[in-house]
Amino acid sequence: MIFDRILRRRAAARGSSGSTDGLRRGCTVGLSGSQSWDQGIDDVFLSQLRQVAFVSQRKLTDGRTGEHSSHRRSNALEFADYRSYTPGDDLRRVDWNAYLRLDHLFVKLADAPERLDLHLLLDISGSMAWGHPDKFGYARRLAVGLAYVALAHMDATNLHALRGAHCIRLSREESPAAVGKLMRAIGSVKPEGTTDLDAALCQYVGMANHRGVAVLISDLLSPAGYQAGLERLSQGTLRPVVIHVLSPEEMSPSLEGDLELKDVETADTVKVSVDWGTLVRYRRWLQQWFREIEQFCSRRDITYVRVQTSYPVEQLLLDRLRRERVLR
Amino acid sequence: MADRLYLLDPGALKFLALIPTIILLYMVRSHYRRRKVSSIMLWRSIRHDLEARQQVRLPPLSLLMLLQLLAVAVGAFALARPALPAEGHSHLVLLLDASTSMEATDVPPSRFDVAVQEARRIIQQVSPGDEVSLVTIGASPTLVASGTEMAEVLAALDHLQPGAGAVDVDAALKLGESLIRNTGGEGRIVLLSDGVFGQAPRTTSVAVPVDFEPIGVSGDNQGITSLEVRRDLDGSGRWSAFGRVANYSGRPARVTATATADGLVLETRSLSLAPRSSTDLSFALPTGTRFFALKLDTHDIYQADDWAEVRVDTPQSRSVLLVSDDPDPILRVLGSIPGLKVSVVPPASFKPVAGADLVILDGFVPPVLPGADILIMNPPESASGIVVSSASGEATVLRSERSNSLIRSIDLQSLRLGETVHLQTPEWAHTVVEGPAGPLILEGEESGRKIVVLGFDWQLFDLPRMQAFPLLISNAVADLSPLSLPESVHPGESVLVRPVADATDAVVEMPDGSHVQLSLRKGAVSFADTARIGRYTVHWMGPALGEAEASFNVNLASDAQSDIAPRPYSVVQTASAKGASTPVPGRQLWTYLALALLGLLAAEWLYFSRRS
Repeated sequence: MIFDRILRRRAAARGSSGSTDGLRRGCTVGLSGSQSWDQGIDDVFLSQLRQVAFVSQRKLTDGRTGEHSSHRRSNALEFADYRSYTPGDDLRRVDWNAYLRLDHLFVKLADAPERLDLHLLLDISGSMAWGHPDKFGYARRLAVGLAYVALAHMDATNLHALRGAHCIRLSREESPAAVGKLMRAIGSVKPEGTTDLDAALCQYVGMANHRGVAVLISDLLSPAGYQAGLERLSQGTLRPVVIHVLSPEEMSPSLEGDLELKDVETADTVKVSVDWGTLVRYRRWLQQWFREIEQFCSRRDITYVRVQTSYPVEQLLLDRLRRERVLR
Repeated sequence: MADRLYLLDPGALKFLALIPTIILLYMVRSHYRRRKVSSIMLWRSIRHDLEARQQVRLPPLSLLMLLQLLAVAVGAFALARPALPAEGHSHLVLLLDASTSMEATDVPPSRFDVAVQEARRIIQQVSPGDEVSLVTIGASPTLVASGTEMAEVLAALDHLQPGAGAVDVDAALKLGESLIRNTGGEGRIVLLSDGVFGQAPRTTSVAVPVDFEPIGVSGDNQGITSLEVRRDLDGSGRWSAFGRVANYSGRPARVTATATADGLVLETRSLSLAPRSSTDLSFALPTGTRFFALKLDTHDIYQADDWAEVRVDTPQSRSVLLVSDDPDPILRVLGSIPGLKVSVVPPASFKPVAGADLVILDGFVPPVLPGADILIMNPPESASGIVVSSASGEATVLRSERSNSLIRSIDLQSLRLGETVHLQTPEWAHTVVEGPAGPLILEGEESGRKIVVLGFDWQLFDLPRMQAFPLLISNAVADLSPLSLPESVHPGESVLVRPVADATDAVVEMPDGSHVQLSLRKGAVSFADTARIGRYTVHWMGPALGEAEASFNVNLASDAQSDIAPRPYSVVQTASAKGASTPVPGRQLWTYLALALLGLLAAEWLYFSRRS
């Protein structure tokens, strides 16, 4: 694939001999820190990703040719149906054999392979940098994986970062050759500050008439809430997908005793005395929160996938998202 | 029963007091540790609950605290040494009080008979296969019968008689405890007694259950609590008897006291005794009286203390062999002591078998000491085992046994001794008077004979001219009198019967007319069969001796023995004994608990290190 060749060429230009090392080094170009968030992105992983693609459930494209079957009929090679000839139709598509048999002009129709737009919306609030392994590293690997899936199938990938009340467009890549650029863009952002998911998502929806698949990668820990933003996202022509990333410490905190808990985003504090009973109540509340999110997303036809950072990204991409009908 | 757990050291459970301490420490709010979290939004919903507990809070349900509490509990339990009981049958030990007070008839026919009946009833209730031991409590405890055959134990009960004065109940309890432990089963002790032991029992701690079955209901008794004869101080040579009669009843009593001298009635007095009071009596004895007896006519529940007899000591003839090169000064002293037949031999012609009651060795010690009592004066350096070396110079008295009868009436501080010898103290002797260089006077008993050693040369200083010398010799001779039997002893007390001259045997005539033969070939014999009250006469027999006799009396005559009101007796039982069974240690479980404790501590450490 072109993407692989680009990465290998970059690696060769840096004097590396191993294809995997070169690929990995290519991936880390332009990263802001020394964190090896791209660990695990290798030849095997990428070759596995080439076998999956995004599922198109709505009218996807604006007429440009891609690899996805469209609901629109076109005159492409893959036969789908007939219709009566109307003046102005391309005579090359007239089925002359049918004319000879039936004495009527028919034009052969075919499914139009169309291009899909992937919109990656990456939450870069400070809370995403928390956890072992940290949620942001996990989100970046996931974003790269999804982008690779899209680019490998000639789909356009739009990368946006959500910070504060804003949606920052990092890059738009249409060509598989631009995957390195996209990776640098992903690696260049640092998670910090707070994110108002509602405002940022509303801003994103208002930016243009987006089509395709919008994947929000976030921990949904937005003090202002997430509901209004997702509501707007679901109202457009996009197919919204929420990947809820949480760390194991958030799911099952190993806290005990008298603690002053400090929010890494807002620096607010709360004094708590944590014991067994407290942790039981915490987990109960967490389950209730999850149910609320699931119900909210279910009612708005939003695909909701919750994942812990201890869950392998490869398994998420190759298995879990396929079961959730996000990839195929 | 077999699956019950026993604690061998239940005192260690006091460490469980650490549990509330740990809980208290957890309740006391410490400083807040700071922790960063991704969002306090996750904690906000339960925040109210948390903040409400900031002032007063219950102990938190902390795993660390639970581990610590568990560790303390397991540790305390391990230190208490839990054990499973050993397999075995139950062992019942019956302690039967055989003191004289058990002869009281306040419960008919007598306390002792009632105790025997009670013992019989208890034995008949014992399960088959269980072991029963029967122990009588006398001056020392006696194991009468033991085994699983109840018929034998019941038969042994038929032959028991009371008759011991002061009884050692503590020794009996210890014997019972050891019997149960040795048979390796569970068991208990049943003490059948009126609680009157004639002496204050020690506080005994027993590790087996003890049931005290009180016998007797009343202390309505009058008795003779003291009787003795003394020579009158006016020098007339007459004797007087002094007695004391006490009423232990809560009511006034009238008793008739009859005094007899050698069986002839001397005087009869009618006495009125107030409740819980006593009165003293005195009687002038006719010359030549050998035995004086006092008898009370009462209608009380206890007859044993209503009669007492005491021997009137008349001077007896004793043979003394003086072995000396210069016997005159000593002969003069001995001549002033009545009742002595003194013979003198020079050291050169001394023979070991001399047939004397007392041998005085002056400046000479034979290789083999004679069999009679010995007074050794100024032993030579060749006397091995007694003398170390001679020493010169003046010696003064440094220390002395003030209560010793040998130095009675002697002013030791005025003594100025010339040349002394370094005496060493043999195993059988103890020091009576000690000078700066070592012992000066030794006293001891070896092989049934008494030996007194004077470790200085009386000829080299002015001792013979002083009053101290005759007093010292007189005291020594009085102390070394072989025929001296005690005038009166309490029931159960032993009497030392020593050989007289060449006597090889002795026969003791009991109050009931029976005879007990004693062999004196190996020295003195302790005669302990003194349970019966009355007169005991000792007859010495030997080839050359013919027959010599002396007597002593066994009288109750004791304040403690006549106060026979039943009283409770409590045994200090260790905590493990308070249950129904005996903790005979079987398999101990502390090792398992120690391993569990180790595991708990490791888990606690792991949890703590992971958390922090």
